[in-house]
Amino acid sequence: MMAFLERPARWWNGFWFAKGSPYNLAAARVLFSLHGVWLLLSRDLPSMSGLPAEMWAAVSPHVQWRYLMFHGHPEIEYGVQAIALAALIAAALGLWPHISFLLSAVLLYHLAPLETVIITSEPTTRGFEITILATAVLSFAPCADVWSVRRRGSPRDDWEYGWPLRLLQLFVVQIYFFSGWAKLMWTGFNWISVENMRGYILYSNLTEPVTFTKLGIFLTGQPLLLWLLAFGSVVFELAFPAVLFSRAARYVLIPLGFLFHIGILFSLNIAFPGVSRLLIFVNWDCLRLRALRVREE
Amino acid sequence: MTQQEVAAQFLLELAEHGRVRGREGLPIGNFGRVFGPLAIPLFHTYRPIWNQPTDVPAAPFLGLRWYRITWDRAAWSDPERVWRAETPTAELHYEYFARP
Repeated sequence: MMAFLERPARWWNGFWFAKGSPYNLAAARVLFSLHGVWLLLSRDLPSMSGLPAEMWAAVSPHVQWRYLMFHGHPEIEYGVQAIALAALIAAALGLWPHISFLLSAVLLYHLAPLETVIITSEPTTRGFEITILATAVLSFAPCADVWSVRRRGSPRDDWEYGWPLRLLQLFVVQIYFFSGWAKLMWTGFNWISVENMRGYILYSNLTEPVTFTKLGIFLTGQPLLLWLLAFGSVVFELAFPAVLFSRAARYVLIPLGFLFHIGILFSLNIAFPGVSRLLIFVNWDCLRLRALRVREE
Repeated sequence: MTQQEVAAQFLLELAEHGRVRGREGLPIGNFGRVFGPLAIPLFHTYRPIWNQPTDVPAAPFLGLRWYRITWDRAAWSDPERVWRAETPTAELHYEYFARP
């Protein structure tokens, strides 16, 4: 290999094929599959197929064929959803993970756009941001070697548990990074302004009947705090990829991520169900070993 | 019927169905059918305005109105004016009444 490529190649291999833990990957398996179940059972996606035909008038044939979703067949969609739920539960339990996750990915790709199809056909909104990608990745990963109702097969190399989790973490990081990127690309540095932040909060608190108003009302009268929140939000989002490379960044930015979403909920009344996915940055293997040590003592 | 009328009739029937259930003290909507209050909330969280049967209007819904609500952005530099609700204006865009 050419000398100038050796260093980046080493870095690349070190990043993707570092040692991984079967427990951390299994935790991701359980997290993503249960989140999918939680989301599907908190919505009623199949019923969208039963809306009046007039409400489907703007859905293009291209979109309908792309996702194989058509108006007037809610009973079929309920059947598809039942299979998706069964596949996700099987995946959570570690049963036939390759097949159950692949089936989940395909069926969620079909079901997810139903929620928004009369407005947009985008399948990666409203809670399914990375679920479809994640289930597809997990279908190729040895994610059920531990914490599974089935016994593990032959021993594997540590790197086989590393790359899938890295990829899932990269998906999560992109949610934050590109959120910050979009702010600067669409609005520019003017996004970091008291006026902009106050506008967001007022808008989110005036669309009655919102759930939380106290924090929003308080913040609109605090220009310095508003500016700090705007600045801090953009810095936090753009800095978030650091969690992929630095343990110290994970210790700071992951808890900050939870606080970030709590603050958004109470000030802007915006809920982000995907916040639970931050848990894939937790070292579950380490916690498991600590719990074992405590039990032995 | 026009597309707008069909859509409005569907929404009106949905609202009326919810009103009847609310009056009977039954849950409205089915997002909480499995997890109840622990169901994943929608992107914008709104609090329920009908918490008990007495909160629910007794008379049936007969029509549906679609308003466009706007705020004067210039006034946003003074939150007090906004909280006093000086700036919102509601413009009626569409209305539909159920046919007898």
